[in-house]
Amino acid sequence: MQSGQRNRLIASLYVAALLAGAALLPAPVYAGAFIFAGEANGVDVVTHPQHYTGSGGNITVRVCINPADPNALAMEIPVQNIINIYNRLQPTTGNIKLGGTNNIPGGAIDFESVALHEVGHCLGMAHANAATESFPPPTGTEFQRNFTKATDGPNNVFDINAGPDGISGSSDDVRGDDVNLHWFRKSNNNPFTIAGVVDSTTYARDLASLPGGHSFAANADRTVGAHLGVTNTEAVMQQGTYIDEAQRTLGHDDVATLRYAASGVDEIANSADDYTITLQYGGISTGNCDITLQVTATTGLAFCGVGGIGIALDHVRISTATIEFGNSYNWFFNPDTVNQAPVLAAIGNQSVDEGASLAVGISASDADGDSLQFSASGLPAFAVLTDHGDGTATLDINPVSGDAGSYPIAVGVVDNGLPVLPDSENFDIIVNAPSLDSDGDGISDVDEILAGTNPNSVDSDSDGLADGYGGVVPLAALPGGIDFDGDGFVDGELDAGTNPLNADSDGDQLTDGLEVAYNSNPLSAGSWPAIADGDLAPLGSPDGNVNAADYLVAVLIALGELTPLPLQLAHGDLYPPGTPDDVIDLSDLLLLQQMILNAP
Amino acid sequence: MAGRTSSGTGCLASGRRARFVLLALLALPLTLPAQGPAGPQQTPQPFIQYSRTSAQPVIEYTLVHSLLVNNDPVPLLRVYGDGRVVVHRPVYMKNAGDFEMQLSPAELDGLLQSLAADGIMDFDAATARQERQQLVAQQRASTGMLYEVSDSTDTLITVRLASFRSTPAAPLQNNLQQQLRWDNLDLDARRFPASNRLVRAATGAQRLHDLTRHPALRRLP
Repeated sequence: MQSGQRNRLIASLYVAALLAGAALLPAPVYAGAFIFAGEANGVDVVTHPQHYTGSGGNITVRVCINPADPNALAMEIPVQNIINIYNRLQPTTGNIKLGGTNNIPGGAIDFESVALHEVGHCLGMAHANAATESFPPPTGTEFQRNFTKATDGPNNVFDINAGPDGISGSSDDVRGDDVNLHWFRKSNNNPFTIAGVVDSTTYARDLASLPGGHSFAANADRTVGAHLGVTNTEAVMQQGTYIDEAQRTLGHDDVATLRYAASGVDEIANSADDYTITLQYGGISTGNCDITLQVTATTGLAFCGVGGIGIALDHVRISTATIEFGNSYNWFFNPDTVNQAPVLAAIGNQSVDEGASLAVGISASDADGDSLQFSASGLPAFAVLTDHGDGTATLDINPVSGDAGSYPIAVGVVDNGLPVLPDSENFDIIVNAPSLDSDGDGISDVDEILAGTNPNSVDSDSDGLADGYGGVVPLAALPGGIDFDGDGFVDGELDAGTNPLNADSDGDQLTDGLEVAYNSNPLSAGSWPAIADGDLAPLGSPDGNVNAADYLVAVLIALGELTPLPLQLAHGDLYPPGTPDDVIDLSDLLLLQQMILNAP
Repeated sequence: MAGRTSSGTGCLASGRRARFVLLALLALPLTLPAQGPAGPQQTPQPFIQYSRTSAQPVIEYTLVHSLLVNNDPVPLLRVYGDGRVVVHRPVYMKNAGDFEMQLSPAELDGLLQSLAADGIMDFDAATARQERQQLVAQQRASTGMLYEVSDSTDTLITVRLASFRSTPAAPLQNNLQQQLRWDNLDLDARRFPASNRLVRAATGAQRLHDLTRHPALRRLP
């Protein structure tokens, strides 16, 4: 017989057995570590999510919010967060956030935490602890309810003794003939850990598989956790919620329970009947929903009503699941998403000339590792965005003649998380018209006009330096132009840092060009070139001739009758030759006298 | 019992008068001709007597939620014999706080009569559970499906009466303290509409729940 036929036969027999047994049941069936496990249906029952038939593969469970619910919109983010948490199937510690460590207003009940618990039921999990179904109000106590899930055994009485540590639900509990329902890790019976492989080789329900010295299966109650050194941690499936408490991530025990079921009907991992679960957000909808959440007029606080059908011996599949939350209660709907938004790296305005090309690299990151998708809006016809599918994109800009102008655009990126979250940036593509440079000094006429220089003169202040940078204006274009570096081009004001609108930037009566030509600092009045040509007169505006007038000025300076300025020192400081001493005195007069006498 | 007592049905002030009415009611079928087919069917109302004082609530109603570790122990609703209604909405409920309103004697009598008609005063939990089990078995047989509810809410209703008789033929119960406790009562009423007992009990519970949201309630300082 093929395995599929065999499974169907077993399932048929199992359903028949369930039906026959149901008629005999004197008491309600209470859930175990897996919902439907217990005395009535079998203590070894493992319950699977909807759509699992015994064949391996991925199971998609669609989770919806009832459109009739007035809280539907507020429920969306919490429900999506829950879906993310179950899909990640990540065991966590420290998942209890009380009071100031959460974002819940005082007195409120966290919808997301309670919904995470109820969805767990809807996937087949039961309470890890004995809970109120074993110790109902008004007489049941929290101490009793925190013992590990079990049946009351043949004597029909729960035998509860917390053992030497006095902690209910720990590994030294003494439970008489109570039959354990909690699947525990064989190696350590520690529900705050998880095995690499979760199946019947590593987990058991039968107490015979407990580690030495342990007397009962421990459950992931917060007090047990603290006793084991794991603080503020509890299984989500532990019944018992506090006001102003957030418990929004799964514990190791929750993950282990789901993974155990996912090992399939053979309860062996990595075999053909294994499955994975994907919760899919069905939105605010009634279409094809497997689990529906709704706030109703029920006087109850919150519950999941689950139906199940047998699929194989000791295996049940959830067939229906509806979660209701009472509308009389002070629910807090978490507005913060588990999914983190992608971050787009800054782009900024982009400038390009007509006829030129520009490729702008764009990138984004996502803390969740989600896939990213880029898009752009407002793109002109000459720009194209290419998404490389790896978190990067390129914006190719190729304007042609006539495209000059400013184009406001937006580039955005979205992740594939739940909910889908975006990031974007608005910026401008600036296309410049071809620039006119009438004087050929490398500065466009527009820019020259804006700067105040003469667009028709390469040397607006006539100091021998070109208005812009050196290396642009050939010496031939500016007679008298300075070419200190000898490259055949006029040196530029922008290289020297001088003012193209002021021939003497430092005000020392020596033009910037002259200072550059003699390697003096044109921006410092205390620096002058060593021209040493004796041309001192007329005072303040040498005439290019060296004669008695120059000598007279030099005599006046040497006698202290005239204080020399940098201009006079530059021309009249002749001694020592080649390394003038910044004074004009008798030595300079003698040299000047010789120059005058030797002059043609 | 402290204070005066009165019947809700006829506002009888004394046991003598009550006995007179009771005898008259019992005698009716003998003394009055049977009504014709077109006439309204007269259903005898239950006989109810309760303390008109404010010493102890005549009606208490509360909900205990399995999910919550710290259920507020103060009852959600207390209705005293003098008509005073005290509502305590715990911090985890919307519009939390303490509220009060006043029922007239006729309104309180009417409320008790309604609860009696809902079967609250003579609700037999054992019988109801047996009936529920049968309905569960029937549903399983017809659908082949198991069913579970994850986290229950217990409805607790307590009614304290000096005397109660559900029908003229029923025995008179003195110092009745009826306690109804049922988990997931409103859900069970929806699941098992064939159970008149559960449906009526849920109606009675809803009646009290509605009273906790009555517009005449005023917040206490």
